[in-house]
Amino acid sequence: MVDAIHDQSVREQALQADASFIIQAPAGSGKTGLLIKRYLRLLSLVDAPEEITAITFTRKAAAEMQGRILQALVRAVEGEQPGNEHERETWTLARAALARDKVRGWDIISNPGRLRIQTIDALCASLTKRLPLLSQLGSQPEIVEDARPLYEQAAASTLAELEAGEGWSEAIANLVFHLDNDLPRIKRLIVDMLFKRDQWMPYVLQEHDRNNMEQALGRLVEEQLEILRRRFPAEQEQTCLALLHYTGNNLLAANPQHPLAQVADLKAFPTASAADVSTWQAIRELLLTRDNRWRSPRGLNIKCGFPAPSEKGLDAADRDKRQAMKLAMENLLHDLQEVDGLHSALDVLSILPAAEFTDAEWRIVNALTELLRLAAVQLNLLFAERNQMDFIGIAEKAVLALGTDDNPTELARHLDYQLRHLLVDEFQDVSVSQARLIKALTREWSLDDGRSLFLVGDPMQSIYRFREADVSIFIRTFHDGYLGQVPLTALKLGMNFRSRQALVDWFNECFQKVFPAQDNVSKGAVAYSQSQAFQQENTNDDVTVYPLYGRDFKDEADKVTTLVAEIQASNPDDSIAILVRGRTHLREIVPGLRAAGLRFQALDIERLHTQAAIQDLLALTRAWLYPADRVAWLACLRAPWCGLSLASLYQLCHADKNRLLLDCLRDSELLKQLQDDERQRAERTSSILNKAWQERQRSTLRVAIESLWYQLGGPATLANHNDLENCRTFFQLLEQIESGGGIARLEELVQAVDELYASPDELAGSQFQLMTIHKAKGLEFDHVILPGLGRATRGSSDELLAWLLRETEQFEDLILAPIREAGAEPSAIYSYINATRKEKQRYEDQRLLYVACTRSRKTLHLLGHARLKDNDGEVVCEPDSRSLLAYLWPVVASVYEQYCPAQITEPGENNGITISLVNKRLQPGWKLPELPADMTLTTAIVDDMQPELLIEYEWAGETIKHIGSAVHRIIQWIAEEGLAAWSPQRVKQEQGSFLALLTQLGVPGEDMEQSLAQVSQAISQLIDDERGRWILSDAHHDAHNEYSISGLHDGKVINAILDRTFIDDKGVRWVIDYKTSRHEGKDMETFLDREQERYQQQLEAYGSLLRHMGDEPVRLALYFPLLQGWREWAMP
Amino acid sequence: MPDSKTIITPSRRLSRYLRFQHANEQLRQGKHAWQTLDCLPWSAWCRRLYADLQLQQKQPQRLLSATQQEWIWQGIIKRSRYRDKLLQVNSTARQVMQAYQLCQQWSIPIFPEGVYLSEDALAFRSWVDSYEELKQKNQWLDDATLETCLRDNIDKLDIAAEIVLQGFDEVTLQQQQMLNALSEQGHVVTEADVTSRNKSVAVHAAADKRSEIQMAAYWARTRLQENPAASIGIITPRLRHHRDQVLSIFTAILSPGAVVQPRSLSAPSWSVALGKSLADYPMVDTALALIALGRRRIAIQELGKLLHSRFIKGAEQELSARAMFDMWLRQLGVEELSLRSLYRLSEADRLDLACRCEQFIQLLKDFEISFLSQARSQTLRQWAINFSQWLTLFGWPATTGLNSDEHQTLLAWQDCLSELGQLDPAGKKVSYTEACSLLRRLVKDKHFQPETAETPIQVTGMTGSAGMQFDHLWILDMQDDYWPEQSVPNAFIPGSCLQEYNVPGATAERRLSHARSLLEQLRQSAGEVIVSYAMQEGDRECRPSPLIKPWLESRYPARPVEIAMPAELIFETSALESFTDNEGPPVAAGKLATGGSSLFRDQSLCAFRAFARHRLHASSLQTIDIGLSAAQRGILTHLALQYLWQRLRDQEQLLYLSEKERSTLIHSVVSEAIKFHAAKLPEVFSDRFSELEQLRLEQLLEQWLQIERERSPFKVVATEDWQTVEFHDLELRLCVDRIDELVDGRYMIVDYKTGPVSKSNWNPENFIEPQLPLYAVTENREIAAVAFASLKPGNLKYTGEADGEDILPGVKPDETLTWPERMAAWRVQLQGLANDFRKGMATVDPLVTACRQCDLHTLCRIHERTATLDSELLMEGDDNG
Ligand code: SF4
Repeated sequence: MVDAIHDQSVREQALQADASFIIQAPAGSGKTGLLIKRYLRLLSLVDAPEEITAITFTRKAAAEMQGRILQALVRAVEGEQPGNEHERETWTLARAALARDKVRGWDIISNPGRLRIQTIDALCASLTKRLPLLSQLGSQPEIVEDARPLYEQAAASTLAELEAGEGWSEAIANLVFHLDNDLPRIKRLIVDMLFKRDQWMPYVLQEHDRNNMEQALGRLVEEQLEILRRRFPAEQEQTCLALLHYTGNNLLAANPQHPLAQVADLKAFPTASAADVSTWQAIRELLLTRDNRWRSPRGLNIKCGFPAPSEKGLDAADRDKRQAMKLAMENLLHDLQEVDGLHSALDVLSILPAAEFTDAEWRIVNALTELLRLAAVQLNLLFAERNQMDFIGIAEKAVLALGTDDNPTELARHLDYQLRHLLVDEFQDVSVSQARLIKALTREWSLDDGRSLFLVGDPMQSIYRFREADVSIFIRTFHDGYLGQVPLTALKLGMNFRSRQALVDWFNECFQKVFPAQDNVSKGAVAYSQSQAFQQENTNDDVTVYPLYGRDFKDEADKVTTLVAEIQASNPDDSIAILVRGRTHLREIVPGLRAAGLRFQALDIERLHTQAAIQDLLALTRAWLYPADRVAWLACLRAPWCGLSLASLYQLCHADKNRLLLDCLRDSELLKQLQDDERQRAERTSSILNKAWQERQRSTLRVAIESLWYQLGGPATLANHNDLENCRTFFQLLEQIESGGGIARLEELVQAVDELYASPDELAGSQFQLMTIHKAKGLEFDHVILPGLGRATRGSSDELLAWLLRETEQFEDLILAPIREAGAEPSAIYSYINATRKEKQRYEDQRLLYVACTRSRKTLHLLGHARLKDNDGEVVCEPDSRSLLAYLWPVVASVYEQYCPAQITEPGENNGITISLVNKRLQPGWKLPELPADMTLTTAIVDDMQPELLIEYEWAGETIKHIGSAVHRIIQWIAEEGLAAWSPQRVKQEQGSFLALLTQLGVPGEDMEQSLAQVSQAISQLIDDERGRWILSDAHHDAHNEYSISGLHDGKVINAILDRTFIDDKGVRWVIDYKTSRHEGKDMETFLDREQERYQQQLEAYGSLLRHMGDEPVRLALYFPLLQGWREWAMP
Repeated sequence: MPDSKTIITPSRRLSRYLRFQHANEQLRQGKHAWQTLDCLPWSAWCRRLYADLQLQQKQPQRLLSATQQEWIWQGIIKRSRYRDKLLQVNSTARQVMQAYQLCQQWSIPIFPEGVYLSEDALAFRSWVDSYEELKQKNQWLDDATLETCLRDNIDKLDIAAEIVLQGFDEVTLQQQQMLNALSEQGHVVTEADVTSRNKSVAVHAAADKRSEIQMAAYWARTRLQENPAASIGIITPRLRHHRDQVLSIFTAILSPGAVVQPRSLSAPSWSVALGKSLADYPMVDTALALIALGRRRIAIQELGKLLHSRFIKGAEQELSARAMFDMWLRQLGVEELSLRSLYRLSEADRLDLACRCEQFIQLLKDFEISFLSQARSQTLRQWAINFSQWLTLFGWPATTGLNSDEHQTLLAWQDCLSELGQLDPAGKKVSYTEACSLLRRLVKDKHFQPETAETPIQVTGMTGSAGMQFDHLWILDMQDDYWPEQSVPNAFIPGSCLQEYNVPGATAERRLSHARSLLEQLRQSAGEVIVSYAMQEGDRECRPSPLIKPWLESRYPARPVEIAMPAELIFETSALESFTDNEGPPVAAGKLATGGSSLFRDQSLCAFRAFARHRLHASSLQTIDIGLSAAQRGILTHLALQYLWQRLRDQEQLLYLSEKERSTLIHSVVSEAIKFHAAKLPEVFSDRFSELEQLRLEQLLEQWLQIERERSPFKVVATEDWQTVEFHDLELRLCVDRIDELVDGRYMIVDYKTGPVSKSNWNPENFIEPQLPLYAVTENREIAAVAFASLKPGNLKYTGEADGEDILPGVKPDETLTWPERMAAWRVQLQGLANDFRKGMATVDPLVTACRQCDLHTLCRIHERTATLDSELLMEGDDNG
């Protein structure tokens, strides 16, 4: 490893194209610049740009990186060689890449899509798309970003299997009972698990052997005991043993269940064997209190086995013995407290599980794994049914497509290029499954084949555990120097180009203390790595701590407001950011800033659903969809666009709780009872709603709601322009989730609205922003303010299955633990795993703090509340142990202590909400403003005449239609060929053609015979019929069959197809339509009259067109070959 | 006809466009009627030619429709050994069919020697083998080989003397061969002569997508105003992605009136050429839901959809009853129901008259009779007939005066049914479920848009736009990530084949040159061309497409959109008044019958809530989940305990029972309780679940009786005791879970709680469990204790107030108040609440967490009244991250 601080040589080394690297790049170290240089470098060497793939964490980052590479290329084409050394290097690399581009004819600048810079999700999708069978997908399913509805359905179908009577039904029953038959809760828990199934799937799919897992537990226990035994000073063992005997015997009588009483007759000091765990626990009991502190001399009393020597009526020997043992104990405690690491090793004992499962536990473990497997299967079925898949599924399929170690896929043969170089940014935030993919991609790589892997990231900035990021992958890879097959050189960058010297110094000092001293793979612990400032400017007071005490967050808000105002006054052009761990930590600050008139952009801070305008829209949507949803209807009438008073609402609706408000509103008598102003309001709303109601389900839901909202005056009720933006977001959402003019599940809408944020203030510049620390990752600001450091965060909730994978030298130990039984305490194994999880979270919180602080270029301001406590009359302060301040404490304690107040004046947390009692509504007489004119058409050109409609669709009708088409077609044929060629004989001969025609038209087998008969009959009759022969006669002029004409009719351009038209010897233009109608029974004449009536308009429209095409008088006619009927009339 | 001419285009859209152009031209020349231009897309032309060939030359092969071909591919893939390696056969079949067509179009043998065959290619080859065999055997002809067949019979075809191709940016090898054959036959084959009309090109860089589209719309409006005869095109490669946005912005700018009144839109001067799935049309949605009613169970949501549909007979007459019935069904808390249960529920006594929609139920019954009379498996054609008959039975579409759009939708639906009927050329029998899902898929895949009159402003996609001519053209989305487009070649054909046979889009270079030439064609197609891109999308910065670089010099600057969007205009008229409205009318003097104790609970949680719930009767739609809700579980537990004490009567009896007798007793009361509820909701109490509930309750009762056994002696004198009491002129219906008579002759009132419980809920400032105090102060007997029986697993205990040490284990007398003082205090508190309620008080003053479990947010307007970030007080489960 190279010295991290003077990292110029490191940066050069990292450009070696034929070597692979893993690079730790702390905040501000110019990581992206390095990636770009390497990319350009590689570009100048490859045969096709597709041979390089770069993976970024977000789409935004991908776009940014692509942009910078393109920019470098463009500059190299156009520009001069830059003076700046750093830029010159990039320029030179870009020149070389361009030269390659020319030779190879890529023309990247015109075709930037060839630069494969993408997120890992996009990469997976592109792989599965290219490998349909290997990925076991077939054609690519639609990828859904938010698969929650699918998870919910899969969870529900999983639980439905309870009744299936299958082998797994019993497993489900076990689990359901374990959780008190609370199906809705179990469903939620399964959904939570499906969100991270890439993590547990491999474990759940394995066969689990109880013995193995218990052995694994044993190893876990023994490993801990071994640590403990090693740390326990050997010379103290005897004293300890004696004390165990002494206290144990003292407690035996009063409380034989006491852990110490259990070891009253202990023979030897315990070993590290798992069998001795209870003995060790007794030792812990001896030495530590319930809350894991060393026992204090004052606390040694009868309860822990030390009866008071001062007790009355004791003889001297007894008294001395008691005295002596107490003293021995005090000495032991004193000595042991000095031993490094002993406390933590003892501490662990309190949560160390037994080395075996109870039968009940094991049954639930099995039931759970079975259930989870089933849930995954159900989800896959659902994916198949919908032809959709989530990112986790695609990633899994991508790995699958890449084959196995024994049978790897030869990727190059499937793609039209070879993947030679892989660059991965933000490697600290990859998840287990993503790492799996990268390993699979590089599986066949050998040491010297010129391919390279380049992993960059900063483990100190790994903060996406909640999105399954696993920093231990980075740490392990960095230490091992290998990822899968590929050997990697580990390098560290040390230069910070971002922050001023004083800040960097402070980071170094502070995080050295905050971070653990050493990396630890299994705990995800990262040690601090020093940086050096590039900007060596001397400044003071770059970091300021503002100590606050108690729980009054108003004073914090005030402080923040003044701070911002000060910075803005002295440095008006600088950027400022307020960063918080959770959005809710801004609760007092946002109103404070607003009250002070400071404008800011709050990024994803305010939930959309907390906006009154959105609530109104939700009410309107609900009312529209569900006329019986009374709350929604009342809300619509009370919303500012209508603004009815409670008295009016009461009047309208109290009489009958089962009457729809829509009906009440239609009841003019009822409306009359309202007061004048109120009545006008109600009437206006009523008439708008009623009109709209007539048109319901005729447009999309969005259009319906949006127009209704406009008519009601919705936009006029908004407080500011931002609300308009928010409403737009709402409408877009509505459009996305509506189906068939409604919403499949109302919950889906509510949930979707829940997940959106209000849009940031359009009028505020980006100079001053509020966001969460997670959002701020990758950004930088001149001044960073971190309030709320003293606030605790809530712990995580229970999960169905907890797992722990421990990789030791010989074993890969998997331990599973099920969720606690309803109403019971969690099992020891579950608690232990949970504790390790919490520890990981603590390390991550430290990194979060690092990310937050290092966003700053110039100054950093830390604010947080410490708690005040009365310690024997002296007021002391300490941070909440679940707050970020707790980590910072070693650095800031002195400041806090310095200003610690002498007295505790707890104002108490101010949790009350201020509620305004004023309502708002449109002023009376409000009217919709005049809108700009619509752009409408003058002459309409339509393509076809409205075709005939068979409302009652029936198959019989279908066959009749086909017979009609066939007859038309054959008559056309006869007309074109000449009637002379057709005899009854010919009709018989052509049966085959007729049959083919009917088949082609879709006449089914069972109708065929009859249809054929009818067609033949029609044709035979036609050629036999006088009228028919006249129609088809070739004596006419200007005859056309199936003649397609267009023209203006009734102000519209229409298009007509004439069955036959000609001019007869008298100079009359005929328009004849064939009708294959059938009619049985009498009254033929009436029937034909009716038919004429039916088609009159249509034929006259045709006629009117033809009249424009010639001067002949026009006659119209219908010919019925099956009936040998005829109707003709003159064009009026 | 010797002098005839046929114009052939690559797409239906272009054909239609050209016909319209022609019509316009004729009109301009002053003609009123003319022979229609013979202009059609290539595929239709081929099919037309084949129809002639078939009839006149007795061509025996049957030409399959596209859906039939797909169906056949699906069958082959389903029967192949690759079946299990596919997520979904249908979508794969489509891709395979395309691959096959591609091979035919470019004469790629499947596959040439020496090409590496991946598993995908091997699978493809085996499918093709089966397909061709099948085709041969059945004498089928498909689109892929149609042209070859036509070419072979070229001399027998009746083809126009002149063939004009228009808008083809790429002609396949197969097409070229056919055209060559035509030329040899003496036909004149030409390409439409398109001379460049371009006069200017400018680039517009917009801040974001919305302003980009907005600018284009405004520009179009201005151009049309300047010259109403102008033809204006708006083209984008991403129409599918922002169709919705385009529609809404264009409506706002070009037809502002339609934003406010969608139906007022008469013949707009613009149109967007992109349909959506037929299944998304409300009318079709209803049809599909109706047809699916034959399933064993129907989701409540699905039923709700039908109850609200306007397309079913009686929708208007039964509007109210159907809507109420829907509400009522949702509060049952079941996810799905069988039709049987539905009938039973619709006749249940507890169903209010207002919720009875007899006509609707009758329709369902009629449907079921028809459904049950059907054979289980039938041909698709028969199913199609059934489906349409069922729809008729429901009166679908039940709307008089269908408008033109609905009319066309109906036709499209009928096409789908007819396609379904003809789908399987072999006519095999299938099950109802399969027929349903086939239809659903056909309908879903059908992209449909009601046709409108031809408009001067046309918004269309990039594909299919070649060949159109405009006076003004705006090209949207010219960003480097969208243009050139990144497409993935068909994975079933080896990449090397695609390259070797020169298939378009096979290489990056070809894609680039194609993108370039298409853009150039577009440029030439219009006098004025504006190309635009957005500089930012979401959080991403965007760059112009490199292909528009030559024009970057001349900018079309952003100009103020001079007509305001309707939303803005309305927003600007904002004139709000403030008023206070914290009180409703008081309750009229005299008695008022109300519900139960919940009134007091609501009143102390929040005055507004009490007013809304109990005076306005506000209730809303319930959300539905699986299994039993917490409330239902509570009711069930109550019932089991009620049965138990009805049998036991007193503690003595309890103590007297042997362990065995006790468990027998518990077993029987629990099963009785379950039976009672199962009769009401058989869907929830399925067999296994009932067994588990039985176990759960038995366990719970057994544990609970342990606690009862440890109490001092008592007699149970009442269980689930409904009483009407009067309090402060309010008539209340109260139900006491249980009353025990204690040894001293006094009484104890018990309230079972299956959820969390705390005595602190009786504190004056947090008086949210008023029911026990209410019973206590209205009860005539002398009360010595009131207690919650907490039945939450892991927390079984009595908690409450007692007048004496030994009345209840673990309950100590209150040290601050004597028993009479406590009663008096409660009385005062309750009177205060009753008074506020009578006054009509409706202030929004919730206790701290009251809003979390309240569905009145939209009505009380709590969000508007508080600073917005206080949301975590209002909603459950706000996050941290
Ligand atoms: S949401 Fe809150 S304020 Fe509104 S009625 Fe319910 S409890 Fe009262």
